[in-house]
Amino acid sequence: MKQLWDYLKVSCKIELENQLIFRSNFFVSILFVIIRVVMLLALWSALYQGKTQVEGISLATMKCYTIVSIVFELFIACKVENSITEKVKDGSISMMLTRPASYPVTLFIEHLAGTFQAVVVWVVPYLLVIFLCGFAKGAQLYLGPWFWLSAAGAYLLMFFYQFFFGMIAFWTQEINGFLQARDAVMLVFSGSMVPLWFFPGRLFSIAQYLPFQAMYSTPLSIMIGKIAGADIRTALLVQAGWILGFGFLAQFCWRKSRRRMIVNGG
Amino acid sequence: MSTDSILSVEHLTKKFTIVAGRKGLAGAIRNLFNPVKREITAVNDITFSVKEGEIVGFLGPNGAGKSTTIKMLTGILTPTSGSASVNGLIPYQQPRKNARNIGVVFGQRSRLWWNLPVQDSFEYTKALYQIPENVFRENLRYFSDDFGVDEILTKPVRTLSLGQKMRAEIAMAMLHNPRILYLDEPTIGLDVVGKNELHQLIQRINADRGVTIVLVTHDVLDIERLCRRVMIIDKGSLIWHGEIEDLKRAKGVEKHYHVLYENPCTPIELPFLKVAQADGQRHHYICTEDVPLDDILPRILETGRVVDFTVTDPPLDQVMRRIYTE
Amino acid sequence: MGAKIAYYWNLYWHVLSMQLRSRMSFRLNFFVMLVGVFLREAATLALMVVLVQKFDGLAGWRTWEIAFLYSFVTLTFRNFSSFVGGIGTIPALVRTGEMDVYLLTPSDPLFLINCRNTMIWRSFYNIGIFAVTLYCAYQAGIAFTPGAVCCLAVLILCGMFILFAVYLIVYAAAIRVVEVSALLKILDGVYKQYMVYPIPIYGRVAAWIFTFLLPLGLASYYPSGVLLNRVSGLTMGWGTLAIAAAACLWVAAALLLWRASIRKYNSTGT
Repeated sequence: MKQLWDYLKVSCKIELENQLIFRSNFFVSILFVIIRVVMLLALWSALYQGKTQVEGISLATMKCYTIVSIVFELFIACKVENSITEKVKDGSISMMLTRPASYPVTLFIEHLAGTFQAVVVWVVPYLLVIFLCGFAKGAQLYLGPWFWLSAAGAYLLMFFYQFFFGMIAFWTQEINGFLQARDAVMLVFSGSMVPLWFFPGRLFSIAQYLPFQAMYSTPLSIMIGKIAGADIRTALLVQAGWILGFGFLAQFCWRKSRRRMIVNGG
Repeated sequence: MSTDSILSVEHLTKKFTIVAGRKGLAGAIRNLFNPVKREITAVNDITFSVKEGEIVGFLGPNGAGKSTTIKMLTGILTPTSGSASVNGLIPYQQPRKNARNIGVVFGQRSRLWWNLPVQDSFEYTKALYQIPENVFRENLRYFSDDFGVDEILTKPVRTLSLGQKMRAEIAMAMLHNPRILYLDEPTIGLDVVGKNELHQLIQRINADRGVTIVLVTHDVLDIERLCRRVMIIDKGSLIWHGEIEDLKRAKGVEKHYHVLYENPCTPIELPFLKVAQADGQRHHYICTEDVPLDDILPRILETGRVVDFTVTDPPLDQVMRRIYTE
Repeated sequence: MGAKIAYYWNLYWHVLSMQLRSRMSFRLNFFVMLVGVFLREAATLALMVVLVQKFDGLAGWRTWEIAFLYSFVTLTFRNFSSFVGGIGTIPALVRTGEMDVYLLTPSDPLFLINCRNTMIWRSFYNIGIFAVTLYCAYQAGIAFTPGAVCCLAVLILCGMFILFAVYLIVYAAAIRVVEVSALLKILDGVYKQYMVYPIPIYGRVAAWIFTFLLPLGLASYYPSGVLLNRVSGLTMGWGTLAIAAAACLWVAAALLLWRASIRKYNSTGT
C-alpha cells in the first residue's frame, strides 16, 4: 500500500512536470479552455435568443451546464487506452509483467495522476476565471452527495471503459476505423456536446441503453436538477451496472492477454 | 581563397540561444514565468579550405561542432557570421542549387525508404535530382559491379545489415554525380569488417570519380585509414589542421624504435632516449623529443649487427588524447 | 517554368506511388475507415440539426443553412488534411531533426514534405461528405445555377488554401523550435467546433478577429454566407472574388513567413 502511494506521488510529480516543460504549450492550453467557455456561452445565448425556457431549461442553467461540463471533461479525461495501445505497438507491454505491482493497478494510478495534473493545471485557473466573471449567476445547482457519487462513478466507468478498449488492441491493431465510429457515437450519446434532453424521443431512448450517458450526462443532470428524486437512484444503479460490466470485461481481457503473453512471449 | 580549392570557409561562426531549464517541480514553475536563456557558440571562427579531389577528415569528440559546420556547408544552417563557399556557391543562400553539387550521407539518419526495396529509393533519387537515364544506368552499373550493390537492390531496406545499408546510402548519394560528398559518421555502429569494407569503398570512389570527400567522424581509425589531411574541432574551435604526419610530429613527440640485434648487447645511452626494453637481442627505445634519426641511427648501428629495425609513430588516438587533455 | 512544373508533377506521382506501396496495412483498414469517418461526421451533423431545430434556427439562419455551413467546414477541413495535410509533420520533423533531409535536395522543401507525408488517399473519404454538403446546399435553397456551382467550387478551394496558410504560419513558428502542439489543438478545435456556426454570434470583437486576424471565418462563415446570401452587402460573385483575393494574400504571406523561418532553422542534434 505504501508502495502504491509512493508510486502515485511520483506519477503526479512527473505528470505535472511534463505539463510545465513547454512554456508556450502551458499558457496556450489555459487559453484554450477559456476560449471554449466564451464561445460555448455565446452559442447558447444566441440559441436562446428570444426564448426563456426550452425543454424546461433556462439559459442560466444551460450556461452552468456548459461550464461544468467543460470542467468535468478535463476531470474525467483519461489516457489509459492510448497508453496501452502504445505499449502494445512497441512491445513494451510484456515489460509490465516483470513489475511487482499489477498492471491494472498501475494504470489506475496513472489515471489518478493524470487527473491530479489536469486539476492543478487547468481546472483551478479555469474556475477562478469563471467566478471572477460571474458566469454562473442565476442558476440553481445541486452539489450534494449524490452528485459527487455519480461523478466518482463516471470517473471509474471511464477508466474501465478505456482499459477494456485498450485490451482489445491486443487482439487486433486494425481497429482505427472502428474507434472513429465509436468516438462519434460517444460524442453524440454522452451528452457532452448537446444535452440529451434536447434529443427527439427515439434518440433519447437509444441514449438510455448506451454506457456513454453514465459518463457525462448522469452527474451533470443530477447537478442541474434534471434528474431528481427517485430517478437519481435509478440513474446511479444503471451507472453502477455499467461500471461492473466494463470492470468485469476489462479484467477478463487482461487475464486472457496476460496468458497469451506468457505463452507467446509477448 | 586559392583557385584550386573547391570548398573554402572563412571565420565561420554559429551561435545558438538555448533555454536552460531549472530542475525539479519548483524549477519547472519558475521556468514558466522566467526562463533562463543562454547563448552558446557551437562553431567559433573557423577558417579552412579543401582542394578538389581531396579526402579531408573532421575529427572531434561528440558535440564539438563538427556537424554544425557540415550543416552550414550543406546549406541547412545559416551561419551567424563568417562565410562559406562551396564549388562557387554560397550554400545557405542557394541551398537547392548547392544540393545538386553535393551528396550527403548521415550515418545516423537514413534517407532510404524503410519498407521498400533499395531500387525504389534510387528511382526516387533519380526523379528528385532529375538524373538523366544514361548517367543513372552508368552509376548503377558502377556500384553494382564493384561494390555488390546489385545483390541488395531488390531487398527491402529494413532487411539489410547495417553495412549493406551504408553502402546503399553512399551509392544513393553518388547517383547524381556530386562534386563533393559529405559523410557524417558513416561507420557508426559497424564492426571491424564492415568498417574495413566501407573504407575501401570510400577510397575507390575518391580515386575513380575524383570526388572531394569531407569525412566527419569521432573515430580516429576512419581518419587514419582514409585521410591525409585532418581538422580537429573541439568546443567549437578549430584547434588543429594539416597533414596527419605533421600532426603526429607536432603533437605526438614520442617515437618508438625497435631494434633486433644478431647477438645480445648492452643498450645505448642518450639523454633523450628512454630504454623501454633491453633483454639481450631485443631493444625498444622511446624518444620523447623531436630529434632527427641521424642523431640516433649511428649509435644503434655501432652497438652491434642489426637484423631488424623499425620506427613507429605513436597511434593517432594517443595523439588525440593528448590534444584533448591539453 | 514549364520544365519546373513537369519536374514537380513527375516527382509528386513518383512519391505518391512509393507511399502507396510502402503502406502495407492500408488496404485492410480502408473500408472500415471509410465507414467510420462517414459515421462520425454524419452523427455530429445530425446532432447539430436536432439542436438547431429545437431552437428554431440560430442568429437568423435556418436549420438547413446551419447544416450547410457545418458540412462546408467539415469538407474544407478534410480537404485540407488530405491534400496538403503532409505539412502537419513539420513540428515532428523539427523535433527529430529529420527536417535536415528535406533541406538537402534540389526540390522545394515544403513541396517535398507535403508529398512525402501526404494522406491524399483519404480524399476518398471526403466523397461522402461532399455529397452531404451538396444535399445540405440543396435543402438550404441554393439554386444550382452555373454561376453558383462555380462559386461553390472556388470557395471550397479557397477554404482549403486559407487553412493551409493559417496552419503553415503555425508550422513556420515550429521551425524556430517553439512547441506548437497546444496551439494546433486550439486551431483544430476552434475551426471544427465553433466555426460551424455564424461568427456574428460570438460578438463583434471575435467576428473581427476571425475575419482579419485569424481568418478562419473566411473558410467557414463568409463562403457559406455568400452562397446563401446571408452576408449583407456582398453578392455571391463579389463575395467569392473577395474571398479568393484574401486567400491569395494569406497564402503569399504564409509562404514568405515560411521562407524566412527556414533560414533561421536551428537543426537539433550534434
